[in-house]
Amino acid sequence: MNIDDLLNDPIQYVKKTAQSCGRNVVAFFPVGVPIELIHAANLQQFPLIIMSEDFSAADAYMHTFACSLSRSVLQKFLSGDLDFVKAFIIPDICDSLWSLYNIVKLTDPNRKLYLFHYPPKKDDKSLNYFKGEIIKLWEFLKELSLSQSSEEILKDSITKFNEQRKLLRKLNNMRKSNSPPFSGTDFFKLMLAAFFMPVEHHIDMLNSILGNIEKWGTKKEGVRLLVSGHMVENVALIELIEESGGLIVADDMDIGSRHFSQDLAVRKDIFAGIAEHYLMTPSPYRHSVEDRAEYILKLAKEFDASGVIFLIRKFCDPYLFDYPILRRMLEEEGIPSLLLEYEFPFSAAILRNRVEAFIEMLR
Amino acid sequence: MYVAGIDVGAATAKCVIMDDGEIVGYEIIPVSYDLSESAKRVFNATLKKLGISADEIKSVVSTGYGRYNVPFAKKQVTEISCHGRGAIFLIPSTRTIIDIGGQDTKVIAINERGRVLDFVMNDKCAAGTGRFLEVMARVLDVKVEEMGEIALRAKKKVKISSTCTVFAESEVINHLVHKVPREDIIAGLVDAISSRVAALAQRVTIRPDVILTGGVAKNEAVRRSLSEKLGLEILRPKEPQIVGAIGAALFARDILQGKR
Repeated sequence: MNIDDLLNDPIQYVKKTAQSCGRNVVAFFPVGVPIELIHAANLQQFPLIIMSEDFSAADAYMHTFACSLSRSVLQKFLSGDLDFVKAFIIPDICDSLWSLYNIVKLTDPNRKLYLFHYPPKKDDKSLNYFKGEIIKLWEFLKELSLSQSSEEILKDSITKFNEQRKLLRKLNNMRKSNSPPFSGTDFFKLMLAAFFMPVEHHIDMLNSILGNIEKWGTKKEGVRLLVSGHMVENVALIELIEESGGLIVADDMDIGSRHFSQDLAVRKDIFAGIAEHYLMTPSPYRHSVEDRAEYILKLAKEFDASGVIFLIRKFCDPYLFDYPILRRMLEEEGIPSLLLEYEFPFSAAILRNRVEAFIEMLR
Repeated sequence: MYVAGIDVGAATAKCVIMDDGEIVGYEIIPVSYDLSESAKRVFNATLKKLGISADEIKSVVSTGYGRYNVPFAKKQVTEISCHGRGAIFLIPSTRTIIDIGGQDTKVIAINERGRVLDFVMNDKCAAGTGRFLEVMARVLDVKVEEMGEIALRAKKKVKISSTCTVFAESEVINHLVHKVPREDIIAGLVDAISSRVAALAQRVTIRPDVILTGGVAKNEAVRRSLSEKLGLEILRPKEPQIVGAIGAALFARDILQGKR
């Protein structure tokens, strides 16, 4: 199955892969949930992205100012399309996901749910607390597994994901060039695949791409941009930016550079290492906005981005609360930014108008 | 040598024809559902007014929401960039533009050459746009162009608290039920629209001179109320609806001169 087929029907992809590997499926929101734990428990990971643009069933339970991601997942859940999912990991990062957790619990009391808690700070106490949460999640996942697991296996999983991270960094660094060999659209497709595919398959894919980089992807010219947000669950959004004269050369996203910017260090206390890795990556759910600004500025400089587009799903509180401060901070550093708030299904004409105006401004 | 700028907006289509950097004529028409037809119609009406033929127009640039529906345009430029160019042409001291159109409201910061430095647009709903006033004009049985003058006669203004245009319409009906004078309701609506626009404007760094453009700029009460809320004088070009089309015509001239 190629990436486009996977993205056209992610549910079918997950079902087939789990079946062929003989694994149970665990769905999770890609907001910094340690994917290594799912892999080490020999479970098939299922990153929850927008899978429905019809929210009619979900809207009977959830207020319309919940984000389209939570409403789309609820819609699929209520329709029975996610019945094959053994368990859901729902992080407590925002009100929409809390609401989703409660509705799922109410409508299907027997469904296995794991509410994953993050500490809001990154001090020693928080780190210790988070380590405890990770151990609890690990125990939960091991119970779902059809095979035995151990800390040794977890170490192997971390090594594999670090190999994937290294290859993604190698590819990502090529975007620093004046004329990158591939577009932002190509890269985001590959990033989505990184979260869906078994890591071993994805590593093979990355090696084959790196071995023949000239033949992979589409070379594009355009105004160099950095995108910041949660993830690009629909690459049509990135295509729209690149068709309007932009070229995405860097990102500050969960399904993006936050996943691969640093290796996960294997410590003697393996869970402390995992906690540190996921807690230290700047994100709006558990960090000060200054950390995020520093991360974005560093990326913008390294990748020579002329501007930043904040690609934020409507009603996504964690990102929208950070935005006005980040905008000011970037402005002080002379980096122009644009807020592109989108909803699914999105209105291409309205978004295109803003992107074209932003690019005309940067040219 | 003649050049033209065509601005196909959500409510009206505007065409400006320039010759050697001077405006020689313009037209404003309401748009139909067929934006290409509206573009052609406004172009032909302007040509007819000036007594010149389409062949004499050496370059056309289109802008506005329907800019890709103008097949005879050489280039499309967003209304944001066009407003920057047009504003500097009309009032060279302009540094901030507040444009209240039929469907959207934008605030644009520009430099002394009319280049855009920053911009924000409304992205929630029709509240704070020309459409808001159009809807209310229908309920109040007044012409939208008379609303400014009526509002200035108000003794007091009612509070319109709903952000949503549809809910605000219900509030207006409720005031009518309670026999609140029409001018007081319109003054309340003017206050509501200018509050929303002022909140949007403060997201960019506002530098004087500030000019108000778009169809709603013709409403003197909105201009005064906005000026009061932002605490600075707001200027208005003689014809505030054609600023984008002027900018487009200037971009059309650039093409002839080999720029951009």
